[in-house]
Amino acid sequence: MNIPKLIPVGDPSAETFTINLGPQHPATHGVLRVKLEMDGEFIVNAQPVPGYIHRMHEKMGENRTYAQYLPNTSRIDYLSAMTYTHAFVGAVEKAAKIEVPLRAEYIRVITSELNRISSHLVGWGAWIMDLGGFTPILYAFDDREKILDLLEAITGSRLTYCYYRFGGVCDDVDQDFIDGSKAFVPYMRKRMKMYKKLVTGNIIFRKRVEGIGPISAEMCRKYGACGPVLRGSGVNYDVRKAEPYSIYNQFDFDIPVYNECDSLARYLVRMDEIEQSLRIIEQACAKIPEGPFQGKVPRVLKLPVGDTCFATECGRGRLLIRITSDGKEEAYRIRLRTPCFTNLSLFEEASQGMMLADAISLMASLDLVIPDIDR
Amino acid sequence: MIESLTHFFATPWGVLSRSLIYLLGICGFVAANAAYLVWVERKGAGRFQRRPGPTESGWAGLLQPPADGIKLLSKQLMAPPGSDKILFWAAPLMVIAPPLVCLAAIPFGDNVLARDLNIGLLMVFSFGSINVMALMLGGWASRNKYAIISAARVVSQNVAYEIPMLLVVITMIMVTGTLNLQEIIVQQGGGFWNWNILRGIWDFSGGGWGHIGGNIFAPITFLIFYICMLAETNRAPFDMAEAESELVAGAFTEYGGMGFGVFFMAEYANIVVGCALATLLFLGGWQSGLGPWVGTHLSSLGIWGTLIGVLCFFFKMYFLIFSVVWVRWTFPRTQFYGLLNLSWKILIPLSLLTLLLTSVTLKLPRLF
Amino acid sequence: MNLVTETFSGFLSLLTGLTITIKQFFSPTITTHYPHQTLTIAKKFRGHIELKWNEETGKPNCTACNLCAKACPSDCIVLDGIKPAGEKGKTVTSYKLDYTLCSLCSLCIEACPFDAIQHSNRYNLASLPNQWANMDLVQRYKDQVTRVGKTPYDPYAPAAVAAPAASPAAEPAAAIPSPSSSLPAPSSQP
Repeated sequence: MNIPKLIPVGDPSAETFTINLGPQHPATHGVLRVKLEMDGEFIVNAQPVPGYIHRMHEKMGENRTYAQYLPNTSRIDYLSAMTYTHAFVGAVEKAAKIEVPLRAEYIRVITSELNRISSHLVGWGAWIMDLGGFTPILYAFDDREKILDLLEAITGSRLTYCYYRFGGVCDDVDQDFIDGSKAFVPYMRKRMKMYKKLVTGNIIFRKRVEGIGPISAEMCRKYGACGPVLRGSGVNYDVRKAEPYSIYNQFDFDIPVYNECDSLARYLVRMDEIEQSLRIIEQACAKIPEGPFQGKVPRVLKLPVGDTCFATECGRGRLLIRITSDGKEEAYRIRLRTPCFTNLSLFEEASQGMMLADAISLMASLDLVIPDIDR
Repeated sequence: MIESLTHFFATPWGVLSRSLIYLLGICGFVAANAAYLVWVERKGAGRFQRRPGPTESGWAGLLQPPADGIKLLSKQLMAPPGSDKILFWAAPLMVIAPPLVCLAAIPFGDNVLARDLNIGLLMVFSFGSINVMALMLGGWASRNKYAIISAARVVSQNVAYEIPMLLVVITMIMVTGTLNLQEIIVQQGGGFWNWNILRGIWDFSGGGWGHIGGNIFAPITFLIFYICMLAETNRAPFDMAEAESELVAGAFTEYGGMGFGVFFMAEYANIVVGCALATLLFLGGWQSGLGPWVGTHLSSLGIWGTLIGVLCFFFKMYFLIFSVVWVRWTFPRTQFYGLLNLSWKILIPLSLLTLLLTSVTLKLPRLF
Repeated sequence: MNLVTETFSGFLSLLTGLTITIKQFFSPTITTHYPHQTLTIAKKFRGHIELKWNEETGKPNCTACNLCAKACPSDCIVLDGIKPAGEKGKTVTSYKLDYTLCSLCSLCIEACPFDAIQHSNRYNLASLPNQWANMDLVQRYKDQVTRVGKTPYDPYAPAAVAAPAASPAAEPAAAIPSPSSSLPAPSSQP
């Protein structure tokens, strides 16, 4: 089927009108304003205007000690709170040379992967809801409840966990959590089969995503896109394999890469990533050792003068945290290089000439969390 | 007593009072359906999503529609400045009137219908096309560029889907040979194998072994009719026009309060008319399907027979309405060009093919 | 030909989707009909902090050392304490928590060297913001102790309050106050 695209004929200054997409959205994207210049049905120019939820996380890093910054890290991207905190504690541990016991690393991996699955479930459900199918998001939230219940039992929170500490985690996990995670894996695999039949195979859904929103690998490179957007364009780059951190190099998992560059490719990358996360959880739950859950941390934590970088693979892409320290208890500068900011920046070029509903489908396939863009 | 009633209804006063009873009955039926189909939809949506739906207002949420109605009634009716006031307020009226009129010709049971018209089917379809014009009027009179874009889309969608719908209806008319709705149902008596959805494949009505039915694609014909009915009533997965509100508002954006409520009621009334038509064209209407044990005219069993017929009709019609709700909550929306592609490139060729094949199979026995 | 096969397989995929949703339709609902039903809350649930009750000594462990207030990233905690006559250390007299700023990070609980505070399990609080902006944890502690029938410790008159019914001065270091389950959770408190 031919997907309509605007063929610019004649005078480019033909009559266009400007409308706003947002900042109030019916979908779960957040407060993002996109100024659209439309020629009838087609988008001539789409200009995202972020900043409606700028909360100055980077500035707050300069006024707080390293330990006091921990709650902030969960709130930058609230759906991938564990992985973001992982990046921050990883950076501090790298700079201060703090040892993390093996049990704590295993706990971190299990919780990060559970968090990744729950984040992908929200992104998936919200995407289908944008397309008009209101049922799969509730099935996704049912699965997410199981993950959140598991994580609530060990951390006490359901969304913004402040669970990791420098040198490990703040509290140990009990056998119930390990058994629960082990039992979750086959349950989730069964549900993924159902979602494949319900959504992935559905012809109406396929027509809405196949061939829509092509983003070439060259465009990704130009804008610095990362995560499933990049892997859906054929580039095999995942921080867990390219720059291994924690103990990810001890697990056997694959990186799903699709070459078609359209929205369907990004969709399939996320679905396969859930399966790979389940593999990691399986292996980690089988091998988790006994031991302490937090290493030794000096009472007053000061990092040596200089820069430290640490990158993790979050649900949306590669998060890089750079801490510039001047030897004091508070950081001099904390720089957050968030994945959604760069993923959004390619929307302007990618959506040119598309029909509006297709552009919305494209934005949903980028899986944006707006607080991540504005920080 | 039945005889005295029949005598009364033959007199001029009786004719008038019978018409009035039917008028009030149909209005009440449409009103009750419009209100409580919302309840069915919300409870159904909840159940498909593994949640209970409305439970707090009244037992099992049954007082939710009156609560919504009171809320809509209490809002201010306001027309946007500069809009065409007459057309603006005429649009909701024009949208609710056609389903009311169409129901006058639809038999709910054996001889339970307001007017037994010889051209009943034609009347239903001619009135059914008016609501498209009403939507266009509503969009135009709103003086809102997004409303008019949405209204234009609705019109193109409805026009595109009327063609295959009418083609399949013509196919069914060729098989049944009459436009009289009561006649069509009587022909489907004698057992569920005589229902038009199956009669196309093999026809027993001539007695003996029967012969090849008129329309061997009858189940596919039913499917085409069902899809067109979904598109005509702007239901998911074809509700691009109203769900455009994810970005801009739909064709009803400038209507508030009961003005919007009337459009909403009209949508459900159209669903009722569409499902009623599907039932009586394909699923035997008020025929019980129990075969030769009850005969083709249920009223021959007296008042209870007629009641059973009415119940059978409602059962089939509400099953189809449930399936409309089921389809809505399962699938995402089609893209607009996908919708039009489906109609022009798939449904119209298919319905033309069935029309051609039906005419061939109907003519063949005559030739030999 | 491609169109025909695509239409056919597409239609089959629609039927598959319909069978899945109808199965879900006849499955039981997964919602908990709050408030008619409630869920059991996890033991480690992070509600707002509260003072622990030391069964042994009958008074809160808090010595108003302000380490929790220093550890808090959001400056929620304001403490005050006095040194009662005849006692060795300070005792807290006023512990105000600004719950509108609290992010439930547990840094205060980890900073406390005396194990004086813990998370409550109050998950369904609803009140006006000015009630939350000034949560009086000492009052809450006193209400909780009174509810179990004991007399709350009063730092301004330490000699007047006898130790509660539990065995006094046995092994002060060994007995660690039991978690919040020892005090009944108040059902309706601002």
